[in-house]
Amino acid sequence: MKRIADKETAMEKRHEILVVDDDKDIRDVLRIVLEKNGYSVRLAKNGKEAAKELQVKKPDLMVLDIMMSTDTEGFDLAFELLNNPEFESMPIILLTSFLEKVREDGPDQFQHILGEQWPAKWMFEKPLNTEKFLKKLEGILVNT
Amino acid sequence: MEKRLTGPKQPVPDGVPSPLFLEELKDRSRWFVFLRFIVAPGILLASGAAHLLGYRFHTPAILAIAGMIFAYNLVFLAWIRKMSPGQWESPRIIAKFTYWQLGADYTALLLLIHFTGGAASPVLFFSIFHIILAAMLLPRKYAYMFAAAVAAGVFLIGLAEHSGWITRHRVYYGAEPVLSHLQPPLFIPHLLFFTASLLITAFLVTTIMRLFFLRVRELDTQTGSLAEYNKRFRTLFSLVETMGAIRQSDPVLAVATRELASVMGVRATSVKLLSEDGSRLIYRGNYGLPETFVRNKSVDVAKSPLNRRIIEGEAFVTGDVSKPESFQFGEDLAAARIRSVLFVPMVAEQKTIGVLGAYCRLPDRFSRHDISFFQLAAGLVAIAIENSRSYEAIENLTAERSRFMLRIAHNLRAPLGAVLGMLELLREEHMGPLTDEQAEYLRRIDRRIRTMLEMINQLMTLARTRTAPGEPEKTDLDARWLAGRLERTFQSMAVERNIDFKVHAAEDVPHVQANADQIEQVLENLVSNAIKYTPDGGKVKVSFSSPSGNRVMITVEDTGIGIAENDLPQLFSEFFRADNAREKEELGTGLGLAIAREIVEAHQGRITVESREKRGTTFSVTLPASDNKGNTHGDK
Repeated sequence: MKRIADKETAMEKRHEILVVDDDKDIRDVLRIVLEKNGYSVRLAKNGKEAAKELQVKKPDLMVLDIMMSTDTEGFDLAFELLNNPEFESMPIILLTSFLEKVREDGPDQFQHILGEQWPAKWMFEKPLNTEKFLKKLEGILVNT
Repeated sequence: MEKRLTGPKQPVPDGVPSPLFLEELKDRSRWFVFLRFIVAPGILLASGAAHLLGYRFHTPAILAIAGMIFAYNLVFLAWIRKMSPGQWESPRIIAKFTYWQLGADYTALLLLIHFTGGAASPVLFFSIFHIILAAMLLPRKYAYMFAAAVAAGVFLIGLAEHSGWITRHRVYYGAEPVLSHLQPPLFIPHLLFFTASLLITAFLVTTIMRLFFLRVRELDTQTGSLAEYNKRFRTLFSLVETMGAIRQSDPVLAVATRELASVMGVRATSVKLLSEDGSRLIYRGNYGLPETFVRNKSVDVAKSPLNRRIIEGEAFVTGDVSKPESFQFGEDLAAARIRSVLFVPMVAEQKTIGVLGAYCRLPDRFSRHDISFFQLAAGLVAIAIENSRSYEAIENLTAERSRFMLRIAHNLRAPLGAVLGMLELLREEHMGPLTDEQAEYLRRIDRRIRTMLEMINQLMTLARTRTAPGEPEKTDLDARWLAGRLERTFQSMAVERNIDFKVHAAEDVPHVQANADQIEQVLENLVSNAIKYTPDGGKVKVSFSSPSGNRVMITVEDTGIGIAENDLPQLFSEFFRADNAREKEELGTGLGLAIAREIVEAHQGRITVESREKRGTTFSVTLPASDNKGNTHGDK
């Protein structure tokens, strides 16, 4: 398989990725997919655990679910990190189960929090298109 | 304003005409000046004619009088020219002008009489005109005085001539003096009747003038009240208009209180709404009340007798602020120099929901008209408040529903996402190799779940187009750009199925004003259906045309399985799938066309279908053309 072959190149880098999601199934799937593709993965099931993991060691990239115990837990964490000089350069990929379109022009739940800002450059909709996701991940890590 | 309704009754200084009279006087004065220019030539003509007929009289004196009349009239004309518009407004100046004119005419008239035979003068009859004019121009008393003055003047001339104090200037026919037989005994009744004629004329004319002015004044009053009613009507109308245009209550109340204060001519107006438990009245809107009065203050109904009477069902109450026991905040009103108030209930659906109040700095200010108008206005304000309440309730409900839909979307999609992720691990053989049969079943599971996901997505879209108020955000779209995109999207799919797929857009197709994402979604849905339900080797043709300049029509025509006539009516209903479509394609959400119709209708367009089973189907979408005929790029 193509992706297994890619693994060799990624292996050398052994980029470390922190996956933050309250859904254990999602965490497990992401862990397996990412590890199979040669990344080192750490997991956190909420913002608090993520903060702890970040203190232990700064990962190369963070995959962060937006809605966990609160609707904006992921945003809150992302904003915090954006304002923290130590982490502001760390790439974050946001995940959401919301349809992008619904989020955009439905009664925007987040608008009042976010205003014009968006705390991360990248966002993926769940269910993930794994291929695109891995490609993007790789692209981000190569550039940093 | 009550004053306006009963007509103007300003006290008029003695000897100075009333304003209406004044207006009349102004016009007449000008008219008389122009009229008087005929007098001098008239005298010349009459003298000439008299000479031709053989009458003789003191011609140089008569000509001199004509010259004098002409001269003083020139002075009057200059006076008129010189008078500024402001002076025309001054009753005293106009009255002065009138007296000067009458005085000059009086002198000229007596001179004429003297030089044409004195008390026996034929010019005597002309005095009547002077009396008529004076009676028209002056108040009754002065008209009589003028009449008396003319009579007295003639008497004096007669007396003076008879006594030889002044020269008698007779009119002669040949050698015979005209009316020379009139000697004093005959002469006196003659003059008495002359005097009576003058006074009767003055009486008749002033009486007619008085009646005339009464009518004019009545008319003026009526015009005034009509104007007032018109103003009030306009206020009510503008209230209704505002209510139609704005649904939130605050701006409507702002307009209502401001307009009402202005049209009622009062210092302030307020809208107080009854609290849920009916114990307090809370200020919701006001115009002109001091900030300190309204801020954080609500009225305790139990402590405010006037408000309580309204809440208990009285149609109106008026209050005098000098009785502070009537008010909970009487001192505040007195401090704002409010002297009288008017409160009327605001009733909606037979329930008093609040109190509309007017506050005035004049005591005992509100008339029956004011009250009935204010009651009408209160009815409207109540409706406005009820409307905005229902509107706010609907808005909340819509927002709540949308939030609920989002929640469902999230909660349904989250587990499906996890399932698809895990399924992918299995199918990618991350968990070990699969047999062909296992792989096939996992593929089928994946497909079913993806259909379900698609259905959720489409339901969301449908819910969104139905609940989102307002129109979709539109841009100017080039039909040819849309055509190109469709062609690129579906070309490979068509080639795979060996379908002859053509997209054609006429050169002159106008742009459409539409939401690009939504319109593309509609067209992609129609084209993918057409390809899906057309057997290999068939034809699918998309064309963009403009049946009329202001519409763009997009037709998607296929040679597919067609739609049974019985199925056509339900075709655009949610979850409906025709039997032959199910046979051809097992999985489908049955939502695509429902969404298409929602979107097209939200664009003020129409979607129609024509079909014959086993022969093919044509969908037509008509959209309004944009005003912009070209040159804008189609991309968003």
